[in-house]
Amino acid sequence: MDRLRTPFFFVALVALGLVVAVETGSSLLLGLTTPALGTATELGADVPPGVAERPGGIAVSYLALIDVVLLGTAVLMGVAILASKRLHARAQGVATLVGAIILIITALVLLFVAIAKLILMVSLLLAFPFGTIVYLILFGSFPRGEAATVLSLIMFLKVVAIACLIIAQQRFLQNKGLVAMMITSLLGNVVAVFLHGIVPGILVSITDAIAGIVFAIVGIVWAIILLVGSIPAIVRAVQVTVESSKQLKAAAAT
Amino acid sequence: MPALTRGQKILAAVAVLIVALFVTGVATADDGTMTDPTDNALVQTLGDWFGDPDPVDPSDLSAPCLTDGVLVVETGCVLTVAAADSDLREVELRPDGPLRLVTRAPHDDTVLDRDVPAGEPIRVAVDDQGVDITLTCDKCTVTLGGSDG
Repeated sequence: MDRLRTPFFFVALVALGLVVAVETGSSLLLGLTTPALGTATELGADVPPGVAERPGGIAVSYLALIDVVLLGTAVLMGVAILASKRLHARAQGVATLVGAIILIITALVLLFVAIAKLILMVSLLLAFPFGTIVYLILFGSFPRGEAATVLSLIMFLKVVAIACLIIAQQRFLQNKGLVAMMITSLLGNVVAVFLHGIVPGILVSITDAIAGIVFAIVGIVWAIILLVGSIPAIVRAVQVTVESSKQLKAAAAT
Repeated sequence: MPALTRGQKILAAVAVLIVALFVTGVATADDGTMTDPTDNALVQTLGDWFGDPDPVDPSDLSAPCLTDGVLVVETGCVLTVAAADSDLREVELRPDGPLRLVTRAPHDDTVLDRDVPAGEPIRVAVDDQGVDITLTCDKCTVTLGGSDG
């Protein structure tokens, strides 16, 4: 029971890597549907050819802000297997600190992008008739089916990853932080799929942006938790380094 | 495989519940259509939070047929809205006769046109780039900014 089943652990790592890769590349998969051209034309829009292909939403790609935390944690656990314990103990705190700072900055930028997009969409929608027409052309046909397919694939990969992590070492379940990350990651998918589903198709782009804002905020919260958690590890690593250098100097003096 | 502890059983139940919620969410998506998306409660709430677009600053408006906030159109006139910092603005027009209006869509290159009945106000959305609004009518006056003049 105490032994780590390495193959399952690496399957979990690969699955989590795929989750983040699919999420960050999701904007290439989504958005290939024709916008609400019929409705827009009824409202008086002369829609030229070529405007039909628009990028998809942001929520699926923003999920990566949450899942990258779980991936990073799993990678650090993997480094502990491959590298020496001494190196891992010293590098973990610094790697977590740097990763958390990068995540906070990235998530903050993306948060403001999502808020700006949400404000623009609502303003356009309420600026009847011309703004409403533009909203319908640009955002009115969110590819909900494609998004659900991608979210289902991501959910499957997450379930595989989490199952493999638990099979690899049942004691991972005693790590409350890791369990909280897993639950947050799974709940992210649920939030995305519910926000995509609670409104009629025309308005899904708006709820998609709301989901993006939620994920960016959750990502920032997790990054702050990691940042605070990394400080004791860095302090310990510095103390150990100072003590070992003192011992070396003392040994050299005698 | 050792037996699950109580805590592990709770976590397993939570995981199953989350997956069930996900499947429910996928299966129960709202496929309904709507005639007026601005009627939606969520949109109205967000509209209350963010407010309506700002009106265009009168100093940003120029046209050869513009006199004291009124456009006197013989057959056609182009109302130019200058570029500004605001992401989305609105200019309100109220013609006293039937009017045809052609403008560029904000944040897009799509050309939009609309026939406006006499006396009916219409709000034209403009992005930060500004726009030329072409007004066509047979001798009419168009009041800017929504006032009754």
